[in-house]
Amino acid sequence: MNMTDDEFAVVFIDSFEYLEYYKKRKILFELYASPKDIFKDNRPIRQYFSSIGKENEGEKIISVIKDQRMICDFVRRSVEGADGVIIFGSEDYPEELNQVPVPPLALYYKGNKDLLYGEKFAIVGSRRTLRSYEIKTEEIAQTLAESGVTIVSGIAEGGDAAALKGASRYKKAISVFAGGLDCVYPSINARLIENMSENCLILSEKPCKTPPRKFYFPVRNRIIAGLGKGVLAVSGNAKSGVRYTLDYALGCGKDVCCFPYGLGEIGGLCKEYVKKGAFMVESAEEIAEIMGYKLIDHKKASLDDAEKIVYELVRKGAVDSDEIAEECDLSVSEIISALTKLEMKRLIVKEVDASYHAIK
Amino acid sequence: MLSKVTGYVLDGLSGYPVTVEVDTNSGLPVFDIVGLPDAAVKESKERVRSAIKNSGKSFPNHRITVNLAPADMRKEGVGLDLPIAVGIVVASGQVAVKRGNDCVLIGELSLDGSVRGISGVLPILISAKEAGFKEAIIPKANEKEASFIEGLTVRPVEKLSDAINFLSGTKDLFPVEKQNYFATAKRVVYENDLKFVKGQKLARRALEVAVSGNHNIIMTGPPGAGKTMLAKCIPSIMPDMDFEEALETTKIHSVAGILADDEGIVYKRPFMTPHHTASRPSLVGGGSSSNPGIISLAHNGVLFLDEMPEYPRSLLECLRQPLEDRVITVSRVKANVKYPASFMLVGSMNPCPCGNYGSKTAQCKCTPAMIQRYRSRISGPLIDRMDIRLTVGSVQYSDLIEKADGESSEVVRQRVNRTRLIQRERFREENIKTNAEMSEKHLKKYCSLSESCESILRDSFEILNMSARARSRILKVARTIADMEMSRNICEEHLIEAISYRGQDD
Repeated sequence: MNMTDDEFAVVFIDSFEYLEYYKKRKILFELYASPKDIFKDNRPIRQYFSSIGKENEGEKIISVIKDQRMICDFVRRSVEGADGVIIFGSEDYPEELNQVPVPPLALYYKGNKDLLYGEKFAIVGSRRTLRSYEIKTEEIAQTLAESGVTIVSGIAEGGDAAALKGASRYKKAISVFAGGLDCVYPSINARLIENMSENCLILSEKPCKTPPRKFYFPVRNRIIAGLGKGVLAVSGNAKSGVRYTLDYALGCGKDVCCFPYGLGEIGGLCKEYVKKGAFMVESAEEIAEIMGYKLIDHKKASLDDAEKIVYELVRKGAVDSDEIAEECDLSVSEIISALTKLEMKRLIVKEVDASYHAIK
Repeated sequence: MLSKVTGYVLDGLSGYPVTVEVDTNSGLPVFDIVGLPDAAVKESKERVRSAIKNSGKSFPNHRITVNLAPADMRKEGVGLDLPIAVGIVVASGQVAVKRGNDCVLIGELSLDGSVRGISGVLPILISAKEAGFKEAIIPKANEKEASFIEGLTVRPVEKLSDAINFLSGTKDLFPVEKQNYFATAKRVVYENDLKFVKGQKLARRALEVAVSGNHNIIMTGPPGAGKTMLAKCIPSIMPDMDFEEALETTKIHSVAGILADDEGIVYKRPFMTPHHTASRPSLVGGGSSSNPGIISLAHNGVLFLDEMPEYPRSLLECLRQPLEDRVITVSRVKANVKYPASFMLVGSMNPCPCGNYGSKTAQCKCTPAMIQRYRSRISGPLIDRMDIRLTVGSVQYSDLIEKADGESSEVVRQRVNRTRLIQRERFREENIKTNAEMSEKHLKKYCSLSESCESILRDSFEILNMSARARSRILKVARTIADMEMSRNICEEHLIEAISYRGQDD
């Protein structure tokens, strides 16, 4: 991997896992004219650390800087597994991230970097997402991706994975990791990520080989919120980490959309933000209207008679085959067939509890 | 003086004749049994001694040697009491045998000289008949079991003295009255009937499809959805057992000693529900003498595993081979026995450990990892053998009170009988009976798809995210549905309905 001297310096300093962010930033971007100068002169570092009374810490860093082999080791370790790194302050650095609190000093990436510079929209959800909402999420992500909008999300199961799955069909997905790029967590999504690292983009502010820790996730969410022009929350309860993403987005003055949830249903977080003034959305069209995207038009699928009857009943709120059977004259096997056909046409979806829901 | 009588010993699901030779010599009064008797046979000495004494005969005061031939095979069980006792009485010269040279004697003795019932009489009698014996004397308690065997005169006895008097020609014993299986089989009444199942139209249909093709089925649903109730109804809609099936099942039940006293033959399809703490030998068979396990007791019936993920994985894995081969070979120190184990596997499980996963109103408290762990307790290869994966929704209160009774099991069973008949006709040349048993070869031959069906199947795999291994399962179920509609070929609607019985994880 080719790196400029500046990138090399940033990656090196960034690889000190227990050095605080503000110290790293001070060393790299304030003490010297450009980051690469840290290797030339170590007096400013010594001065800085003695001024804050942490001489020992400063000496440690300087001792590593003196050791050429150690520097190379540190850097190689940090970028092994990434395609490249984008540093704070460089031309490539995504503009949006300057608005978020503590903008990441380095972004390690793998895949198609160009996705960072187009239209982006964040979709986030908790791991506990209703199956029908997952399908809906996938659908929306796919529609937006088809129309040229890149979807930014995390990596967890449920809402995040659904969004990535939909968007990656059009190679317009960015997944932001909490740990290093080579630490896919949860491993259940390894296949999806493997696929994405070729066609789409995976991104992390942590050097490679950093295992994801619990407290990295909320911090990571500021990048997701920062990259997206708006955010859609598809699920989440009062305690969900989705809250951080939404708060960061609101803090940056971005639009927040939420899926609707009913009285007595799960999804407390979405309801809470809708009350606070977030947009309530159910479809890609509504999101497009809010965000000003142009969607590609699609033809409607054709339905036969039984399918029409069943589809209407599902849309009216009949949720399982028993209820449908009561409302119409079709036999059970006809209803089952119609439901499966509608499912294959992606008009309805079957929940884990055997109930059906219209998604269009 | 020497006497020879024929007894019979059980070996797995058949028996072998044992010639009981008794010789009395002069010498110290010793009573010896040789010819590899096990503990129960050795103990028969004491029973025989008292029984003879209490039957009005005297126990000879000589040196008695009993030989059980063939001498190299282990003799187990208590069925040899009666032939040994008769042999001793004859050998001591108290009576002379006038008839019954070709007669098999089996039965356990009580100290007072009465004859008690033993297990495994039916398989013994069937083997005896096949070995060419014409007559048998059995305990009165086992009379019913014997009443379905043609070509063998079976005489029940209550007391040792009856058997002796019969053989010496001083008393007649009336043979067991023969019964006709089909005349008696009509009376079968199952406790659970589908008409008591409220609502659940989808589940009823799925069960009918499953039973029609003998497909294994797993039901997933929240607690209280009625999974167990539905499962219990399955035997009531299964096709009537024919005589051969009934006899096979009765044999196994007879060996296990669980045959009901008032019924000589098993009319009802067995419905076995082992608890999840069951041990492996109890499930597949075992013990020192290789007794049949629960899966063999469920032969020709249903094996129902309630809350399947609760069963230890090692236990569930034991089921894989019998599900495939429909027999189980139980190998133990003393015996190596093959038992049939052709059962329909019915499983039930919750969607997650707390049962609320997927519910819109109740909050599921399980983490994704917990759910994953819970589901993975049933291994992939095993779940692969479940042709139908049914999701059972929870029952609404209004369903319970308002709805009229549904179709009764009787009506459904008529249809199932018809569908099974179609399959039996089709597989006449093959070694199988039902659609569920079809192999790849059969699928190619009997489940060819039209081009439009093939394209539906291909689309469904892509859109519904199904794995490739679901294909043969879907084809088998589609074949069954086509049979139910009496269609020669698999049509689109059959295929689509079959696709709808796939699982969440396909």
